Amino acid sequence: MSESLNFLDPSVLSGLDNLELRARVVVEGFLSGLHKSPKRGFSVEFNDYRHYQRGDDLRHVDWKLYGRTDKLFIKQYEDETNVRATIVLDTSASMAFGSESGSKLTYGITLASALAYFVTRQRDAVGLVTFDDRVLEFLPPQSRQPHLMRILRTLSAVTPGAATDATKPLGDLAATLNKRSMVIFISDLLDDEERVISTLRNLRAMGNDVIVLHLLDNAELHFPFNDSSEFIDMETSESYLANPNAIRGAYLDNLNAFLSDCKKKCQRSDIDYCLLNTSEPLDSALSTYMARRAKGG
Amino acid sequence: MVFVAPLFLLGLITALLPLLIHLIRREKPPKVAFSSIRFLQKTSRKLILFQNIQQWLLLVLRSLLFLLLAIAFARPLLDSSVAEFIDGIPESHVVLFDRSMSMSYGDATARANTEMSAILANLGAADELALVEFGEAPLRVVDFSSDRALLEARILANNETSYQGTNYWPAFKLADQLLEDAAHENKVITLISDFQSGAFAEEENGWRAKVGVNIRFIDVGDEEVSNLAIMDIRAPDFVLEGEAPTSILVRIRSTGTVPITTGIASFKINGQVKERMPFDLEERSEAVLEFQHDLSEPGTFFGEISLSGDEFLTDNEKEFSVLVSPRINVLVLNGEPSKNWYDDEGHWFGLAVDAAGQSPFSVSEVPSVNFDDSNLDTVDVVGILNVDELEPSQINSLVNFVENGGGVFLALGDRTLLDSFNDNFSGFLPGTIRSRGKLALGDYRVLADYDRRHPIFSNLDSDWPAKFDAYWSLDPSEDAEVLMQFDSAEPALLAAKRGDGLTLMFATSMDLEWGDFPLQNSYLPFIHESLRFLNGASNFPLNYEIGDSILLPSEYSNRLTNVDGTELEYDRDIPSFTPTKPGTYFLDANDKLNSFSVKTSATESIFKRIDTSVIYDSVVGQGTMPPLAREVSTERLIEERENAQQIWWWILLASTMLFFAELFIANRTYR
Repeated sequence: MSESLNFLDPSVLSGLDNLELRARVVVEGFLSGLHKSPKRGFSVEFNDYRHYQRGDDLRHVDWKLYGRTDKLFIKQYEDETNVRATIVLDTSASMAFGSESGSKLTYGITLASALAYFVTRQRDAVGLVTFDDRVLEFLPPQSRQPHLMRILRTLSAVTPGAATDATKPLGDLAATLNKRSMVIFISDLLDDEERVISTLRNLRAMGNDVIVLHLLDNAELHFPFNDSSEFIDMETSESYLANPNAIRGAYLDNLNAFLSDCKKKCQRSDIDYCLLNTSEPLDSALSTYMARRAKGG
Repeated sequence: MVFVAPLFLLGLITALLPLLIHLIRREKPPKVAFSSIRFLQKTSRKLILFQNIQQWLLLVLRSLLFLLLAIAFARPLLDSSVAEFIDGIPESHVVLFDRSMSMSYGDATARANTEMSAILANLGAADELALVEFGEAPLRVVDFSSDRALLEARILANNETSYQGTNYWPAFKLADQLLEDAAHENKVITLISDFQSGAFAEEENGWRAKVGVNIRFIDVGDEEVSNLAIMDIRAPDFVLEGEAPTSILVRIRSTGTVPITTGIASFKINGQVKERMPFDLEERSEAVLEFQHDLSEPGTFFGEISLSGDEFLTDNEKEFSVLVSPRINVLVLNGEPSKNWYDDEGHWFGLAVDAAGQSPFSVSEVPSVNFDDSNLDTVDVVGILNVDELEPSQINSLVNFVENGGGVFLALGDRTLLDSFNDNFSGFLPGTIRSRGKLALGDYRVLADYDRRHPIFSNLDSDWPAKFDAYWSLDPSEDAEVLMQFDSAEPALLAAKRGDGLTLMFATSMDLEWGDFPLQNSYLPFIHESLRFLNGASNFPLNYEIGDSILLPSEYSNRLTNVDGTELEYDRDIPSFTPTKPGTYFLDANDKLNSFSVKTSATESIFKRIDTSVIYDSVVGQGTMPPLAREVSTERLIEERENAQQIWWWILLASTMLFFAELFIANRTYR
């Protein structure tokens, strides 16, 4: 387990130049550790029964077989539905911020690659949208292997853009989604979160599954600065002279209120929300996707 | 409030350090790129304001901490009265400043002035100072004063040394006397000198400074001295006309710590160089040179010996004066020639006048009956001894003789006739006779008093043990001077001026008949001086040292000039003159020119030094505690005051409290 987690560590992954390799390492590492987890013990493809393990959902227990054998087996289904996943990656200037193991954008690219790889491996269709204040790249979902390579090439060419404005790109995306899809929104949400979540809510209302993977750097989450500094906004170039020690408490209060608000609004809109610290491994992001996938999305 | 160590107040500047650091750090905050400042901008303004107030409060606390520490180190003292004592216990200070000739060697005077300036600079606010300058004699220059500006102006104005010798005792005594009226208990004498050993004779009749008077010494003398000096000149004051060439002996010595072995001595008479003579001190400590010169003409000569070979020129020249006098011709009218020499006035008188080998007198004697006008042709003074009677023509001759400048010495005796004497000599002699003095058997008269300033007596001893069995009572004439008295207050010697001449009248006989005067030591000089006085010859000494009080002869008391012709002031009432510079001086009166010479003391040329501890042990009163240095006494006083007040304790306590307050606030404040 620890070895797999090591491969999911962003600081380890940042040493891999090849994005495909990085995505594969993430996914394989994630999957190899998956069978050891009682909570993550079933595949999306049914092929057999397996012994019940503590923590399994009792809904999947084959009670008939229990009646015959007096043993608990988990009935595993083969998913016959094809998922169309669209990964929406925020490439705005604020995503370029990073303190320890690389920027949020690098983390987001790795995450998007891993998800694309993972989705393709499930023979589902995956697409990609990159944006800042407009759509920069749009690759419609496809399930073929060459498409994955296109996505990976596109992601490898991503650079930080301008200020964030997710409303319009998401609106454009909604217009293209003519089938029920899964939208994986990877962003730091440093935008007008009210409008962004409102747009996501619309996507959800259209029958799409929406997952928000909220990326924040460890420095953003804990504000570990000490010396009085002039903080310069990476998107607006505004500056703010502050004594970090003096305002840390207030900052964290403001941030937590923001995070709480985001989470609350997402939950209220039936949107999966996952806050990711870019200094932590990527498995929680993949778990969130899988959990959503398992729900039948 | 006063500060003991005010320099530490410079530390007040450190109070600006926190502000400075704050400003420096404020000027250059690092720039940090951050994803978004939206959560920063939402920070409460009150919080920021509060934090700012805390920061400023910290700033003030830290500055205050530095301020208090600086003040604590500057050691504040409360109580304004302490300001007066901040320089220690106030002193009454007498500075004895050596202005003797030796102080002109090298930089001694400059160093002394520097030390004097330092003393003035360190003078406390309450201190008082008096200055006494001294050489042989002390001189009060500045009386006690605390006005530093006044003291500086008056003390440092004089940069000259004198030609005087050095004597510490009178200076110490004057300083001790001044300190009797001093304002403060702490009394100090500071002696600034080059500490020549000759300046201090160890015993001064057991005199010591009063108890409590301390002495400090400031030595400004040179450790190494090289000097040639004329220690002595032996030249006669008077020389008789026609004598053999006069010999002048000069004693020369190398008196410094670094010996000088060779040099040249020059001999001048009346400004003309007569001889130069090299000398060698390689093997001897001193050289004695002899210069000879034929002083044949009557008159005054002034000479000079000068040395070359060293750099201290002040003692390289010394002058002397010599008076060449013609012999005085004395005619004795002996009223009682006798075969018994002891009963013969002429014998005793002639013995006193002419017995010496080089007598300044030439004596001839005639019986009174044979005396006439022709005997007076070449005579300067006539001695009339115990004459009973003279013819009127003889009296006239004598009167004319005296009127024209001659001198008559008349001694009475048993042959004197009361009735005819006054008739014969009335108006000629300085008095008349009244009667024979009556004495009981075994009784006698002695010479009890005389005019010590009179030329006859000014050079004589005060010892007059002669006893007289008989004498004549005299009545002085109105213009006569009583020069000598018996113990009965009756006149013994009268003098009067008659025309251009002088007459003396002695009340008793000059032989052993009426007393033992001829057997006394004073007999010969008395007769010599009397005859010289009658001849008008001066017995004025011609050679002096600096500092001597010179009683000028009345006959020369008109004009005193130095060798440059500059007229000098002197006290004409006494008349006396105290020379301050060496050289030859001239007295000019009545077409007579006389000179005298003044030289510096040889003692001043000896640079052997004395240990100040010897002076201290001899002068400081028994029981006087050794002096404390000004710094030590100041420190003690300050310590006492500080311990009493303990301001520093309160300041440090406040500082500690401030420190903890700073810690407390700093821990609650983000930097």
